[in-house]
Amino acid sequence: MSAPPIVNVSGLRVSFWARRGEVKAVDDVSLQVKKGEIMGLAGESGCGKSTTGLAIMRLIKPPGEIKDGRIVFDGNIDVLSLGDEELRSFRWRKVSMVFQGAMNSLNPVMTVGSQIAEAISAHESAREEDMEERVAKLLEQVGMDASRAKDYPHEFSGGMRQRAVIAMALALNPELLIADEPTTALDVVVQRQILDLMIDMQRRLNLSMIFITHDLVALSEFSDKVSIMYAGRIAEVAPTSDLYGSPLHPYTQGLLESLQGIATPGKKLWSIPGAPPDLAAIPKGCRFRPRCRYAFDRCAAEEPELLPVKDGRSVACHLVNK
Amino acid sequence: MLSVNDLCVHFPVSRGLNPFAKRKSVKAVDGVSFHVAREETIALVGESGSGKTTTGRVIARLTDLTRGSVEFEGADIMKLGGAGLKGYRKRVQMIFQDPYESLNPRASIVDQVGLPLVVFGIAKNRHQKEDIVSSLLDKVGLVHSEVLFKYPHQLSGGERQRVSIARAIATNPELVVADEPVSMLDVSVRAGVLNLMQDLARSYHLSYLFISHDLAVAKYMGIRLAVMYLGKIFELGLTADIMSKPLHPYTKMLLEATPKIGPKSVGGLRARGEIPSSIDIPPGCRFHPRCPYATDVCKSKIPPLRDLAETHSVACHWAEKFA
Repeated sequence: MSAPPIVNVSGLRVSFWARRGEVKAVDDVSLQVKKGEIMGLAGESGCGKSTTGLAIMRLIKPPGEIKDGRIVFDGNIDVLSLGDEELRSFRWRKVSMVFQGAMNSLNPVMTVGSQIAEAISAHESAREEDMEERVAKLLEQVGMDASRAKDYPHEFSGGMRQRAVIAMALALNPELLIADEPTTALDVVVQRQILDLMIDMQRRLNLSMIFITHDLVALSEFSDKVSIMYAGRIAEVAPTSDLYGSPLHPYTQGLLESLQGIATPGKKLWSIPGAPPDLAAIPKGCRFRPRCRYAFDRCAAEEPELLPVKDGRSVACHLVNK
Repeated sequence: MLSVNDLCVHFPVSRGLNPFAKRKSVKAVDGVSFHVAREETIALVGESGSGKTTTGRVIARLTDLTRGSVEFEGADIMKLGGAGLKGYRKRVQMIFQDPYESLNPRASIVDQVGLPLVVFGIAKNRHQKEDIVSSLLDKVGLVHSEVLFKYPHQLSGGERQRVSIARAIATNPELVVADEPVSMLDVSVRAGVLNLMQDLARSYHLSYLFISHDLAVAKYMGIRLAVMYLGKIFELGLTADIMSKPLHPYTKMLLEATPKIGPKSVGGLRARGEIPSSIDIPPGCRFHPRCPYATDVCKSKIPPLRDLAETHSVACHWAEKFA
């Protein structure tokens, strides 16, 4: 018997109620993350990748609603049925999150050290004397000088603020870290430093990680497995080398083709025609069909299910699952 | 066609309440020289704060310069006024980064794209304007019957950027300054816009000044490349040469840091530090605090941009060592 996955999501549906109707941001998503594994969750804006992350943290607020599905943490915690008190001890201690643009959401009138201390005391009763030492340790862990705990966010550079946010996320030794576009707003060189840091921390602490990003190239460097999302659903899941070596879903193929094509100047780039569908009016059948170069009649009639193909790979495409 | 000579753009910083404080300034661009030939694409790359956007804005005459000059076909663009400036604006157009903000939310597509046609007297009446706009929209890959009377909020990001491109080419310009035109677009849409820009370059005989923070995109678009750091050009040359054999340590660090498909290889130049503020620029070579090869000379003497080969210049005291 192998260990249960650190998180097992099945049949998750999340909708937002907007004036124009129900926006199905996440529409029947299932995924598993094994212990100590980095799973990349990739896709374009509006594909539901961040919403999936927020749902695992139970952070969906009205007008959003988790409509259906099950989220099981570590084989024994049913996340969707946790009460308020249980949620407090679940969040940050079991699962924590580095939010997109989090470096700009630090409180400008509090020192960075006291913000980290606040995160700790919100979840457990720690003694004041120990706190300073804990904060110092956390900062050193992310490659910062402990003396900087007394500085305010405006005294930090973007990269340093992002490090502080990561320190905060790791403050209570979570088992799973959900990182939502942690490097998107950073310049290339700083982005490299933060990526290196996160991977280093993941290995040292044996963290499990869901890495949400639109950057398929960065993901190829360090993830164990990648799930590609499109319009609220998972199109393809595969071990990283398989996904980049032989993508099976036409959407993944298109994305990778345009990424690889860019390496050869002068050559015309393959681009996927059209744009993702409106999530309030998802087309019948396969939601990628209007943009797919291989679409045939079955694609218009029937929504393809995410089915296993071979060795840890699953694809939602009629062409593959004939 | 365009030549930029020792361009400096400094923005004064407020002294606040202290009347004795020294007047400081943000040196956004600090001595930049390059030229753009007809029907050539040159890519300007660098991190935020490198001065690439400001350089583009001066060329589009949207920002004033502090020192230096910009000449378009031998004429100093800063001396242009009235009819001369209007003529220049017709020949040099700009595409902005954010297609959500660069279009007027309250004007229909036909009016947005048609405005330059009216301003420059290309379209004489409403009917003619609609005709020309329709053909422009078709050229940028939109279906004119679908978008002509729509408003920006009814279009997707990619479609909006195509509208901005249609507006930029409406006056039949010779040079287009494109400031990060695809950085806000998703991968699947980005490729289409890059293709379009290349097609237009050929059919309209355009030159592009293509500004980007993304080396992969710059490599795809630009025949020549200028790498900027803190208001200076560090390396200038043919894109293929720089990509295969970068001579400046900063270019090396930038290339090393850029993600590539496949498992990450270990080793190489480690990413160090962050770009400092352009108010307090380090003395000597402005990259020296982050440079692993810095020596005493680098701390005191500013390295000029020197020609190492006919088409390759580098601003580093030790460039020969890396060749």
